[in-house]
Amino acid sequence: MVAPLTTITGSRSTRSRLRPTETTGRRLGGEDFNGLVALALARDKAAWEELVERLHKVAWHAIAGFDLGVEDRKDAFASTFCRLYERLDTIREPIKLPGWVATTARNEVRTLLRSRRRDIPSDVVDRRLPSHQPDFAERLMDAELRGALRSAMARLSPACQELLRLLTIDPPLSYGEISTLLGVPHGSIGPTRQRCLERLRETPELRPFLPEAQP
Amino acid sequence: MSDDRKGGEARRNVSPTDRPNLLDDDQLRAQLGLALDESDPVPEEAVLTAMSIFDLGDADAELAELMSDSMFNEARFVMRSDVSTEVRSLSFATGSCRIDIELSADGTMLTGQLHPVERAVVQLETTSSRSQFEADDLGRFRFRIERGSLRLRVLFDISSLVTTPWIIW
Repeated sequence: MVAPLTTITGSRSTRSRLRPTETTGRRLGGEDFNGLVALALARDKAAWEELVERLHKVAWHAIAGFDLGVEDRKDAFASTFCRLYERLDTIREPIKLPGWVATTARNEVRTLLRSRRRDIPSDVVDRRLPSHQPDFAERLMDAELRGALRSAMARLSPACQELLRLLTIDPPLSYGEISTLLGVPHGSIGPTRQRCLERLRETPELRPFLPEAQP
Repeated sequence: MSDDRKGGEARRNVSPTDRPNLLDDDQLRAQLGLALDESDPVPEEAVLTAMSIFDLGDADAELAELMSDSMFNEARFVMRSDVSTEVRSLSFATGSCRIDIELSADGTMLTGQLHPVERAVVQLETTSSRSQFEADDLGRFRFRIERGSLRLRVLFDISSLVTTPWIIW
């Protein structure tokens, strides 16, 4: 039907990761998403990189609960930032960017899963965290606590895990944004959070770290 | 001495005041965030890819609007539950042109057509590559594709560039 395919460019070379301070010599400080969005729209590459720096954990962790392979997760992650760049001039309230990114990332995952013709019985799967396998280097207190937290988290229900994951994202999402992401009433977030944190404290892994158990 | 006992000893050697108070919700949440970050870090190459998207920006391009996507119903943002077609069809439009594309079920081929029929150079862009095809005299084009994010850039002439929104595939 049409002529043979042609390719003019194989791939872009890998770029070194540049931080704003290295490329411009100035500091893009604070939580000033307004300023960063305005600068990125004015073709300031350092501002865009700073936006990615501040928002990449939101995009990554907001989709942690989906049943995705690593490559699919990376695709959804990249697509989220493609969408952000494409829609940057439509962002009216940059302060809400973390919520926007979390929502977009989850939408990209749903589209991706659908395009792969996979059934989606539910958005969030029971993705058990690997239980903690302490090694010698992790005998330091911080590592021990974090390992215990991961093991404790793995004991919780998928719903609790998902809520706590969203509640620990940095920069933080508002209850309103989390309510929209999970499709649950705004008023239920606080009490559910409380219950999930209490269950976390009740796990055998975390008990030794609670004040009354400390020597 | 067992490793467990060494760990217990390490705990006892640290003053309680140095340790986070896990009865405090905010401190518990903060520690949990650190633990999850540590066990599920964002891959460095994924962050680099996100940063490099800036280089794909087309400041002067006209962004075509998504008019339809066979994977969605008319409410556009509601997933269809009855998707049974083998091919995903999408249509994009600007004020002066329409771009129809089809993505093959096996995810390896994109075919498309420009309306009205025009000679144009069509480029397929991913986050890591760009391919180009000259539309034939019926405005048709095609590309081999891989799974991931992609978009089209259509150069109608030297001063007219239209891009589609990114499509995750």
